[in-house]
Amino acid sequence: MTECRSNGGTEVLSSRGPDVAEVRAAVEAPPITAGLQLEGITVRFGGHVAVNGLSLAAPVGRLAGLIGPNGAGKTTTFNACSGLQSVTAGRVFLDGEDVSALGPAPRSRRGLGRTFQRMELFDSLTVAGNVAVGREAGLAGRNPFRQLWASPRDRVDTKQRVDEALTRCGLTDVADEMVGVLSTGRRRLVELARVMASGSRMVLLDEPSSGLDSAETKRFGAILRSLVEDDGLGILLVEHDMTLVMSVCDYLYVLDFGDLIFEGTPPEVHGSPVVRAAYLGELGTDVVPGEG
Amino acid sequence: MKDLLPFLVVGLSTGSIYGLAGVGLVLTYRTAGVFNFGHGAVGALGAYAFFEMRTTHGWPWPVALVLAVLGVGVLGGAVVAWLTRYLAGARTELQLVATVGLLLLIQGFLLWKFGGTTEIFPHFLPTKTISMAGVDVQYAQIITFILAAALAGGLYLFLRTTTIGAVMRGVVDDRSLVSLAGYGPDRVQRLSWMLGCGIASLSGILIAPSLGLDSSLLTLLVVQAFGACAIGLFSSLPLTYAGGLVVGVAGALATKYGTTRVLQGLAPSVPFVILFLALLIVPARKLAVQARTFRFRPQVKLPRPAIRALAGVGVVVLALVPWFADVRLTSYTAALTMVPAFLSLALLVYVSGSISLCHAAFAALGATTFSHLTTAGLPWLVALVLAGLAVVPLGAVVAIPAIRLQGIYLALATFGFGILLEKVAYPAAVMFGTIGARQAPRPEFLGIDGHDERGFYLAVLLVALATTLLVVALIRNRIGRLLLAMGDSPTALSTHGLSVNVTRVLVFCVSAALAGISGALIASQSGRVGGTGFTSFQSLLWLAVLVMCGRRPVLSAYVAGAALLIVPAYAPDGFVNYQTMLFGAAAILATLVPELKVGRRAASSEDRRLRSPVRERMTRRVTVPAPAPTPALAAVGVREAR
Repeated sequence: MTECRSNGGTEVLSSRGPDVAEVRAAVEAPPITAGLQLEGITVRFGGHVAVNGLSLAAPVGRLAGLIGPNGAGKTTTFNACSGLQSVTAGRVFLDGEDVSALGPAPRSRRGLGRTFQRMELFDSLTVAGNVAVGREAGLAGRNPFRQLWASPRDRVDTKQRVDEALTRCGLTDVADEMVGVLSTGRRRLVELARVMASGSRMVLLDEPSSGLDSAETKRFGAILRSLVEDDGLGILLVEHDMTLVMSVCDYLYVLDFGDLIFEGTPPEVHGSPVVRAAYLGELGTDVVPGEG
Repeated sequence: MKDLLPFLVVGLSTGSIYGLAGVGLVLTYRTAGVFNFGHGAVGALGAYAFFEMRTTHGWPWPVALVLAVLGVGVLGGAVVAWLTRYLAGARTELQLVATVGLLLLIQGFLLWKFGGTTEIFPHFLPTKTISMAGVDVQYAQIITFILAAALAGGLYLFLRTTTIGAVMRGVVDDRSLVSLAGYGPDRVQRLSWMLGCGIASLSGILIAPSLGLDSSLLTLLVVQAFGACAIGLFSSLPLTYAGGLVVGVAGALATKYGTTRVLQGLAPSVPFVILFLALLIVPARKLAVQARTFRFRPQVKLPRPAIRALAGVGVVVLALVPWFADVRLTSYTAALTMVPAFLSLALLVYVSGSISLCHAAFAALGATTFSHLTTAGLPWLVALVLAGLAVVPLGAVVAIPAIRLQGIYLALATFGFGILLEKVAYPAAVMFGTIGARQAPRPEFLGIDGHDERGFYLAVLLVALATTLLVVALIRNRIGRLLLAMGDSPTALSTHGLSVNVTRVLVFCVSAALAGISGALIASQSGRVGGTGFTSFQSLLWLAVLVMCGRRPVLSAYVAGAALLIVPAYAPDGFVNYQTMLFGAAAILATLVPELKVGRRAASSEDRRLRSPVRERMTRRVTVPAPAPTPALAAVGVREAR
């Protein structure tokens, strides 16, 4: 918490975050032409409503956060976005196209990538192999011949992407290591590198800093900002580490028991009594930069 | 309707035995977490034990029955419990191969001890009849039905209403919690296995009078309980018993109506049709409780130069075989004919994390296609390649369950499909026909005279090496990486844009084609090949032999061919009597060795610690309620321990 206060999250946001009105305008202008947009999605598991009529927008060039207590429906929302979970009602738009009826693979081929809360790495492969498959899976798609064989052009393209992703994530020294021997923090980075190599323009990150130490988290946040600002990616981030969320996100959506209870910039979220009551609790004031 | 009644009676009687066997199987699956492929073999063991005591030694049948059920239940249950104790948390493929090894071990023992002939198994229950609704029903049938129904119902109540039943259901979900509650999970699971083996034994004894004493027949017929299990979704005891009745009645009705040549194999394969269809229809999430993907992984990664050097030496040695093998050259050739089949199986299980228990059926189709094509006058090599390609559509069909099923359910679906083909398609004219065999010629190409044993060996070696190069090329290229990744996480792969269903179909097609080539080579070597060489039992045997020969896709394929066909050629006379038994034991050992270290630590140390005198103190300690988590702590980055 101390680190969070001294981090000066407000300063960070004010120095590199976008104008609030600008973000709101981007969010409230349906449908967005580049990025992810949810329109009143509901996900039910039997009688339990995991997500209730959620609408949000995550345009490219923005880092949006989706926060909420455990069981709020964040990962379910991600699963609905990526096609792993079908929605009971509502629609999912990707770059303005309704992708609600598509499976995960076609959505990915349209530019949507994701990582997982419980890491889904390919333990039989090396670090470089994992990252390469992130690119090759999309190149091969549903074409059996391209699945069987990589063309010389594909090989060059894959190698370039892999090298770049490994370098940016600081994984070149372990490129030939089996991914199973890495620490949790580095495995998280491998997952990020894999999704970076895939060429996705919209990325969903599910608790990516889980298992990272403070230095790694800081580096991780820098990579995320670089992806948004330098590469123009759109990121939707689910994260429990509020320090990271407050320092890197441009805009936040707050879920509680499947309902969207608040949305706004990080300072607005911290200032919201609704969010405090539902999520931050009594100690919530401690994490608001500049307060106390 | 009246002419159907006798079939209904027979169906209900045999169906109740299937149901009982299925209940035993589901009981152990739900309480021990291991699906026992050897369940039928345990039933056969019980039937033989009963036969020995009653017929050979003349003991009263009630005594023989009780001793056979209790003996096989207690001793067999203890052995299986010990075996599966180390496999409880193991990967599914290890569990599967271990229980297939158990099946081979028991069946091999029965073949060695009692031979392969079918003995008459005298009825021991009263065979007098009573007229019911105009149908003569044997007392034996009524007793069997009531006994099976009572046992199934009793077991259901036992699991639902007693504390130990609740513990048995809970131990598969979390052994540690059961330990903390003061129960020994090992003891609980031992009890489950004893009950399961006892029920299997009783099923075998009850069904033996109508089948005769034949270890293979008894093993497979009790295995027919798989169909009942599928109807019970591998979890519900009452539904499983009802499923047994459905299987029995459907089989009896198929006997009545399946009298045409095309349908004559339908009756015995009804349970497997039901199994296959149920696994295709039932939503995967209903089956997903204990289904995990297969994962074989090489333990040590050799450097590429070392692999090349080893491969070079291997090729030279293989090329020199005709000059030192002497009279055993045919065994070496036979081993090489199996290499494409083992390669294809290795590609499936070691690389893609999938499985097939119908590989013998792929080989059978390859053999018969090869026979047709060479008879039509096509050159040997062309016919060989086309025989492989002809099996591709069959591989695509088998890939359908692979798209939605994983783990043990995929194994069962492919096993059922193989038996279905064996019973229905093999006798068809297009395959082996009523004669049961097909002719196949030897090759004459590139100056090789296949009629000479050395020439044929070299031809087969060339084909084996070509298929090896193909598999190596596949593994090293994109498809190899995608298959390895699919074995680890198909979900992650699909969220990166790959259509994993296409990949699954692809690998099954390639695998089927290679197995088909193997079948063609087998046919070509013997000159005349029948369906008996391609039974579902062979599929099980091939998998067990492959797994016991290591986990390197290429090397293991060659070693497996050698273990299956070359080693017996050098073994002393009579080795063939022990061969199946030894393969079974070796398969069990091969699965246990990697798990012993981990398994002992996971399964035993904690249990022993918790059963020690300090257990009570520890139990008290862990039951103290922990302070409620503060939401704000999570908000500032202090995450809950998961």
